[in-house]
Amino acid sequence: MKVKVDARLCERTGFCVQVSDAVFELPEGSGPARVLTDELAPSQEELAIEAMELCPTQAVIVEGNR
Amino acid sequence: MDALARDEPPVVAGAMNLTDHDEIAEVLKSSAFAQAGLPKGVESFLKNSLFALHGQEHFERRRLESKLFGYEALRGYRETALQPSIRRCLEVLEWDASGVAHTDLVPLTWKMLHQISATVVGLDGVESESQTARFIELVQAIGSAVVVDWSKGSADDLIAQGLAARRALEEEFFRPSLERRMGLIAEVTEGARPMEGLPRDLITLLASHRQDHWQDELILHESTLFLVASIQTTSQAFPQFVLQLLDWKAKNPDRVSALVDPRFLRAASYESLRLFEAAPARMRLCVEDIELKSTGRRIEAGTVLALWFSPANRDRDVFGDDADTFNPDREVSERPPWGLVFGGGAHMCIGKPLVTGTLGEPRSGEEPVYGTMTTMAQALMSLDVAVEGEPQLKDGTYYFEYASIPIRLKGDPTAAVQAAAGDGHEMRDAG
Repeated sequence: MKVKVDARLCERTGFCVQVSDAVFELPEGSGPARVLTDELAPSQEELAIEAMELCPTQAVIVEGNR
Repeated sequence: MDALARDEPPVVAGAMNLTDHDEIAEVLKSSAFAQAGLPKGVESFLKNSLFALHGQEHFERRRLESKLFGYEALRGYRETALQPSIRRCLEVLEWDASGVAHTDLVPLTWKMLHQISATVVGLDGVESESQTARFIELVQAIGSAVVVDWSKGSADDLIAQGLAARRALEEEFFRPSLERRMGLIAEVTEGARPMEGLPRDLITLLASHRQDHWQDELILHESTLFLVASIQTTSQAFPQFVLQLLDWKAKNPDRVSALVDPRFLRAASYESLRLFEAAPARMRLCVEDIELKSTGRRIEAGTVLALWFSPANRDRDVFGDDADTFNPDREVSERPPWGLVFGGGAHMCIGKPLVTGTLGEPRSGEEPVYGTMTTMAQALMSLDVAVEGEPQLKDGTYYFEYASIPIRLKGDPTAAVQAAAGDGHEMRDAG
């Protein structure tokens, strides 16, 4: 399972980082949130899905098999 | 009718007016600004709701409630609430021998939406025609009172009517629904019912995660927010969307088959939302001195701002030289295609996925879930909807909102809803 951030939609609320700072980071400045891992570890999958459902701007997108 | 040509509401008098898209987007994201305006409506109806929270408390509440808008939840609402509701609304119309029915799009929209709204909140007993009519009557009265600052009438009268309606809603729908759910939660606690046996709705969620300082009033206020936000805003937006689609159809006779394609309708709904915001403006209060990065504008603490979404959503620098026109084929590369209509930042509308549906490419094994606007439009377009009278705007409010749009439908309502339930694949493939 992979996760990505749609830079067009991200508004830097930082909610994803609050859910998991091992999966997401909010860089200095004004850029969108970044994903820190290419492939999610099994323990990170539920957190990524929670971040996707929580993101107010629907910028977090999880791809791959559930 | 021009959404931009409207009177200036008294509530914006003396405010700093912002109309630039990126400037408004920056204000919405910034912690230097707080909600302003709507003080009467918010205090009376939405106190301690998500709308009024900030910081960590807002994050925690939002984290809890976002469970209501995941993929499975959206699919469930669509299949068990929205589509059956559309079917019932269409089937009860009086269809003549040639398969034609006449109705009014505005009340029809409220009826089509009421069940998904009640389901998300967790209100039982909204099934029969009379229950539905009563539920809609109460939500409309409450909704008018929540946005009382934008009314042209007596604020005191509207709030009194809204509070009376909310008391009735509490007694007739909310309290029995809460008590039933408390019983179910008790059964889970006692091990007599699995956790998965609980309904997925706001009242159950809040009641099962209740914190010591939460009163029933908090759940009622949150339910009020969800009801008004989910049914009232889309009821204002959807008739406008249908009018835009019909205008586009007249100008594009060679592309009418697109009007039953959910992917096309989804993009078209975003375009309609961008162009037509019912609320005249959103109000914000600057709470610390700031210089906006987007424009360099300096704003002092204490300044009240009126954020004018309609001109901002037609900003040519953002949406192109044809930003004033309805173009479902528009490609917006660096901003959300719906503009600012859902607000911005951490306080962006939590129910947005109900309207937009799922975004991006679906995960393997999943179908896209289309939003309410797309699903309702697909059903009506399949029935060759046509306007057959002069649309009337609602009086007594600064909102750009229709009171009546007489329409004619033609075809088989059951087949139209079934086609929409199949997301139009059959029609698209055939076309």
